[in-house]
Amino acid sequence: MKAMKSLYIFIGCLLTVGCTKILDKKPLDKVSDVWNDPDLANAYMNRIYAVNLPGWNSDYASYSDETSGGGSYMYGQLTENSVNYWPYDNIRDINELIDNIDHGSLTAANKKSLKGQAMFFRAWQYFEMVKRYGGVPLILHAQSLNDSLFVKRNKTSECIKQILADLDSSIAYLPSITPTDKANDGHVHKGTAMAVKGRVLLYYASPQFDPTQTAAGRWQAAYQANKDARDYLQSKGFGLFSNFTTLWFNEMNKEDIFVRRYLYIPNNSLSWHNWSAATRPLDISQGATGANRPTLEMVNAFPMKDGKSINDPGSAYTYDSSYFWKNRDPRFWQTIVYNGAFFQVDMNGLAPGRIQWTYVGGEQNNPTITGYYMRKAVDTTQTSIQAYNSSTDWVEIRYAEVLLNLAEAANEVGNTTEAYPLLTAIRARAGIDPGSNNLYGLKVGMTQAEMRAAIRLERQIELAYEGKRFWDLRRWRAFETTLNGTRRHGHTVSLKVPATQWNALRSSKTPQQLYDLLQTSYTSYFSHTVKLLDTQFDINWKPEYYFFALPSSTLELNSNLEQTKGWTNGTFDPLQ
Amino acid sequence: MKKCTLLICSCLKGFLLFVATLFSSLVFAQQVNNTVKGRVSGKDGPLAGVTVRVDGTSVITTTDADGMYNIAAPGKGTIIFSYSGYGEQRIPIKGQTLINVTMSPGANQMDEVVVVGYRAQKRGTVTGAVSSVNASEFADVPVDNLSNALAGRLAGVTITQSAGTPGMESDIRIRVSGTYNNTSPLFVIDGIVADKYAFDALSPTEVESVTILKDGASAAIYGSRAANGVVLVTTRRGKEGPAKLSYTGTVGFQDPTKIPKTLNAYEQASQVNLQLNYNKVPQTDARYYTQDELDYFKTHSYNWVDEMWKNPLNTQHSLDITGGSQNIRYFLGGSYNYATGSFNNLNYRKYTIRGNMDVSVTKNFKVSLDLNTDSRQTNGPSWQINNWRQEDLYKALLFRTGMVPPYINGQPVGNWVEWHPGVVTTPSLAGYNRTNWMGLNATVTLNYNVPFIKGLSAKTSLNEYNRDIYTKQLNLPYDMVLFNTLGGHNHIVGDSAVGIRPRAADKFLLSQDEKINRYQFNAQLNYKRNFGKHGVDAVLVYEQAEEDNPSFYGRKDDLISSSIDQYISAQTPKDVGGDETQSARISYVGILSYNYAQKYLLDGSFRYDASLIFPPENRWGFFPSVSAGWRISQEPFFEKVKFFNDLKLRGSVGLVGNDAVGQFQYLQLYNITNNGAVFNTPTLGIDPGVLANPHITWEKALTYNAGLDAAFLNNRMSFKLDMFYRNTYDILGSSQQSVPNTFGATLASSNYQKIDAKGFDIELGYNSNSRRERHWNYYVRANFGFATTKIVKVDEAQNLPSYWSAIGRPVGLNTGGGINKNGVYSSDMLLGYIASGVLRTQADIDALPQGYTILGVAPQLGMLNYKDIRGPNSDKPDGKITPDDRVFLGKYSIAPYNYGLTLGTSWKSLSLDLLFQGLAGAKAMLPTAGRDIQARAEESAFEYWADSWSPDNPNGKYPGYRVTGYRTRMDPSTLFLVDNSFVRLKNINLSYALPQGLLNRTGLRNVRVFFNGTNLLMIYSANSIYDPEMNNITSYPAMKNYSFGLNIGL
Repeated sequence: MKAMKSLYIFIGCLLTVGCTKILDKKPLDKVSDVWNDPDLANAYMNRIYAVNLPGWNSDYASYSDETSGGGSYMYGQLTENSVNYWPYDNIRDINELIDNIDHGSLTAANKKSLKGQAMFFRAWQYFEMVKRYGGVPLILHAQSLNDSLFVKRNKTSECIKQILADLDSSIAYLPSITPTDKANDGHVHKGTAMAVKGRVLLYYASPQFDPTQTAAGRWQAAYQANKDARDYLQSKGFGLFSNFTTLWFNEMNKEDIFVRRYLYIPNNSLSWHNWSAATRPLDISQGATGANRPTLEMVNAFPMKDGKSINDPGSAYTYDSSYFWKNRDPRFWQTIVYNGAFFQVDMNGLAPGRIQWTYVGGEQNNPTITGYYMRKAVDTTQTSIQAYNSSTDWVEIRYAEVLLNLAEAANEVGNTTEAYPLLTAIRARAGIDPGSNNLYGLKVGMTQAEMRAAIRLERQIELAYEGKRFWDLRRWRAFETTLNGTRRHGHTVSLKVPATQWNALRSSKTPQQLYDLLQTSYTSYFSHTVKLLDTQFDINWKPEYYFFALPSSTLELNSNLEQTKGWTNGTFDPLQ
Repeated sequence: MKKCTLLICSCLKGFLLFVATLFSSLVFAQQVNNTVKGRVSGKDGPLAGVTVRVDGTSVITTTDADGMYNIAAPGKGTIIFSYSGYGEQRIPIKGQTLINVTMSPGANQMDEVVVVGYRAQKRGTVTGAVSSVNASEFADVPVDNLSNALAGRLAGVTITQSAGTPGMESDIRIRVSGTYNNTSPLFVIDGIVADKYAFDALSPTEVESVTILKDGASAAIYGSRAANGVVLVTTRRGKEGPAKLSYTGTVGFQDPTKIPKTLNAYEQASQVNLQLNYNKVPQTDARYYTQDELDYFKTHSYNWVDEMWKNPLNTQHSLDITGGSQNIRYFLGGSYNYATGSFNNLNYRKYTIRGNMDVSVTKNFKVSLDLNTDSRQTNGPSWQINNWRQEDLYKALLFRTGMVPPYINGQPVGNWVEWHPGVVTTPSLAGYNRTNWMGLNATVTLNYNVPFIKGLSAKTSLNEYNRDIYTKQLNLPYDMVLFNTLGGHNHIVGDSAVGIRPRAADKFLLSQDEKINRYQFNAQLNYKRNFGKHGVDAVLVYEQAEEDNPSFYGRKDDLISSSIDQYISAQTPKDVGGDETQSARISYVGILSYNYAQKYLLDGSFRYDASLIFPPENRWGFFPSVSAGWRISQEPFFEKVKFFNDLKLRGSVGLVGNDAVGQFQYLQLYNITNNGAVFNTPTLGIDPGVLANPHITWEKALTYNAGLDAAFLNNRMSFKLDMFYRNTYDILGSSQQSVPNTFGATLASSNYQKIDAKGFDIELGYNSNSRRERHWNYYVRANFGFATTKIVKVDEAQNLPSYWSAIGRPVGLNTGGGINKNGVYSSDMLLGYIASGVLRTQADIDALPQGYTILGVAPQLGMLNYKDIRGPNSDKPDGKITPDDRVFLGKYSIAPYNYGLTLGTSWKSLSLDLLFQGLAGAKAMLPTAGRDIQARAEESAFEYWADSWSPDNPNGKYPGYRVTGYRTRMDPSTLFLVDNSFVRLKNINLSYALPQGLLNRTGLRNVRVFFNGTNLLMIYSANSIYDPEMNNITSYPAMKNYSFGLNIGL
């Protein structure tokens, strides 16, 4: 009978534990071993790239004179908790590879290449921390819970030594490639490591780490490393790209040394960025806004087309403050968008040759606060959504920076003349008039101090809005001398004629006709008045900001960590 | 007595009869010499299947379809009428031959049968803390989900609906959450472990009763998943008798309970001007609103919520047929539910179908087949719906500036906005997101009474459950129209179109399918027998379950036509993905109950559970319990105490577990992700998973419970008290704070945290004596619960200052130091500053110490000042406000008190029931972001900001000047603290049944019309700004629901 049968089954099941095999399941979407399979080990490395590569960032522009904003940095309001950059989770993953790769069965060449990349990123992350805080705990193996975890901060010098050791290893392990090699796809290579080494040594020699400029040999080391990097890269075919504007859109060109590649994948937030959207006017963008609005100080920093300052009476061109865009360094209008300039073509069905208006009432949504927009690396072919999910590659180090690093180190070791060809190469590419002496507007026979100022200006212009200015000002300990006690400015652009009249004129002409008209009669329609961007406070950078504080959330976790000097209870000297 | 052969825990009726018969036949024997007859009726008319017995005899019968009965009885004595879910009636015969009785829904009755997990017990013999509610109590309440029907009806159970979106369910919390992990109770439907989804899928009309197991001893038989209590649902089953058809339909409309007020156009413009002024921006700046603009906005302001509002409607219809013969009994039912939201293209649909069938194959062998299906659909805007609160849509409408109308000449306005909440809710323009949940549930149960061993029965069941969750999302870019601007600074939108503002978006079709496939096999032996005065009840269970959750999604972009919302309209897939997880469990359960003369009660149980979440050596958990009761009222010496009809003392202790943490944390594994770097093409990435913990095992809670049950005044009044203390230990958590953050690894969960919880709950009921001659009846039921927690051990930083430690505080305030670390704002984060007032005058500033700063900023007029408590170096005031000055601002962020009051009255066939519900004791933080010079000007702010300090409004309540941070976000402080205590009239039901005389001619069994209102009245709210039951101030508002219903029985 059925009932009896089910009873037997039931009793049978109660008495046996044979059913426990249903508990023997394994996770379906994870792997337990990656070090014996080159594809899995490579995938592990792909993830290390994804989380460690630097990317687009417009914040740093606001912590300097490039744009407005930057509140707590600019007004002396930073607290212990303001700067939290602590990528020890990434460092652990790197250490795990370095610890384990040799125990796996990959080929020696494979191991070498992976180790070289891992050490490169370990050096990179330690350097990113050291430049913020000075010395941090050096952790070079993936710790287990039984290790002594309550570590102390290592001296800055110990950290730099380790960073250089890792970079030297990666220089030895990483492949040598040329810009046109198939392998030049975003992976770091020997030249990348050499360029980063040059940058690290440049920082370490700079006043941030050596305020009295008395440390022996640091500039010499910086000079040598940057010279090695330049020479090596040059020998491999790296160099300045021909076009200052399109170098951003000809991806992996010969100027790109250290790159983060992008390719929009909807569910991978690391694969795209919204830098373009944040930079563009909101009227032709969406999702982000307000970044990279140039200050008047930046607008005025660009020289005339012959490379002379706008105030230099010796310039071949006369600076006209009403037609300030005329006869400027070509990088001016490759970087700055002003009222009446062409900006954004062929997108969202807008007429080609679209003109950007920044006058009061000329913009519908969130008008620019400074009267200007920035156009560097902004892809004008992108629609709003593409701008928000932009795939433009980020170039952390381009060849121009290697030249500038070398120029600066050369000048500091006394080889001032060696800096000239480095700067003129950059100015020549920019399209500045060579001048009769082929110095592209540079003063003849500069002193070391003059050359220092020239290099700093060149960095400000060439690398504008590339996230370098803030770190440079900090590295030079130049915030106080350059910015403290000052305020940043912009322009209020106003219509001089009634809006109806202007609108009628606007709609009666093609953009090109309008543009041409404004080249001669701009002042009939528009007036510029200087406006204050720092309305409340003077800029007030404090000396302790040259090495930030460790956040209390970090100190709470480990009582062995000392706070940085200059901050509450700070005892750790970052200059050692 | 064919019906008393079987013991299925889900067959209440059979069990009741069985118990009644067993007792009467074993213990008593009395002579029969009279016949009594009459009609038994309830609220809806005659009641069939009511058990009628003569007290102290084995004489028993049931009422027929017309509620009629006929029973042989002595001239003296008492007839007892009992019916599941109704209060027992004891009527002295006193020589009468006609006794008509009106039953009223269940006051607390000791003879009522309650389902307590793997078996049913008479309430009188229950020794744990158990509350139950009969479905008849909420049958008329039009709810989209079952959880919404229960609020306020169960002592010690906090049920809150966090948003008023159509189809939004309620959260259920039993007593208090004693863990940081899963705090949801375990849901068991007809003996099958289900989940909240399946619970909410049930229509109230297919439910017989809901029982809550609150104490550890009652819950311990559900072992590893019962730490948060257990919700047991019994669905309706057929009763012997002619087929009875019942139809209930309601149609209702809704209004929001409360919409927080926002700044109107003029207020917003004025506030922006003030803010610019504080920031010393020159008056020439184009961001200022000029006088002509301000004047314009005084008379022009648009409320986007009002402009887009559509009155929500809801309708529900259910039809069920129940009946059966001696051998086959059935319940067949179905329901349909449709509700619309308050904005276009927001709606919810639900269908349920159930067939429960019991077949008595032989005298001792019964087979039951339960089949049910539920289908739910939510339909909303095209964005990814992570939860159904629709906060983004509602918040956008709430904050859209009043300066711009949503539409001009029928065209969506694109000035000042990036996206348009009106267009977003128009599927043909912006797409849609539809999700379908489809649940299929089938259970076969075999019951066998072993004939050769008296009292032994066996039961085995197999349940198969499949759920399919299918989401289809169509996303379309759309255009808005730019209009000309007018006014001194171009802030007024004119009405001539000047251009197009595209809302660029990927044009795509995405569909996703998730499945849950699981089975549960149960085999159970029951032994229940009385030996003289010794009663024994033993249960032994084997349970086994496996579950598989696969999911799959695909996306195609750039559809050839947005009107073809099919994959056929696009080329190669843009994205395809999916995953799969599996789980399995094995359990053994044993229960042994002993009673002596129904007077001394002793229960013991255990559950031995295994789960694949934990490593083989730690995967078996043993969860025992013991409980005892003493029915004082059964003692001979108590016979004289006429006042009490019943009095029982109870005590229990039980161990339960919780395992709701990620699987396989004991293994060192690497995750494969699609987040590798890009090298010309995207790559896969691999990263190390959590740092394995090979010792991970169950989280455990030991609960002590003491209770008292009493009935007095001829059973009209009942009282129930339960007190509990719970110690939860081995709580699973990642002890990340105990390692320095240079360690770098994400730790697996480990068993180390401890939380104590304690509290009590009280139920009190009074029922008027409903004898036949009375037309007027009434009842009162009240419940009150208090429960609180105390953190004993938690993951905290080694160096954390003691004043920020969570230890000793209740769960939910904050686990210490969290605000700075990730900047996450949470309304239950009650760590903040004690506001000492706005700096209103120069004298206020001059009174401050030299060098005083507020979060790094020198004091200025209009700033909010805080109490200086300590500094980074000292525990004494240090002359500046730093994050060290923060303190815990409230005692509770989770309401420790919950209460409900049900009042009901009936006069003849007219009845009125009122349910009041409330929570008390919790505080929350208002959004601290104020008005601003917006980066994008479309956002307004809450109205309370209009009362901000300014030179013209020196007594404003809110500060005029921001201290720090982006925009005008203030730091959490006492200024923004609100009390979320409230009492509301949760439900009102007015019902009228047509008199029987009128119906007799129609052939209808009963006809009843009713009005049901939900959330109609907020009686008291300490929070004057928003509905305190809502998750937060920007939650989609709760709705007042006015429904009219009709119930027809055939």
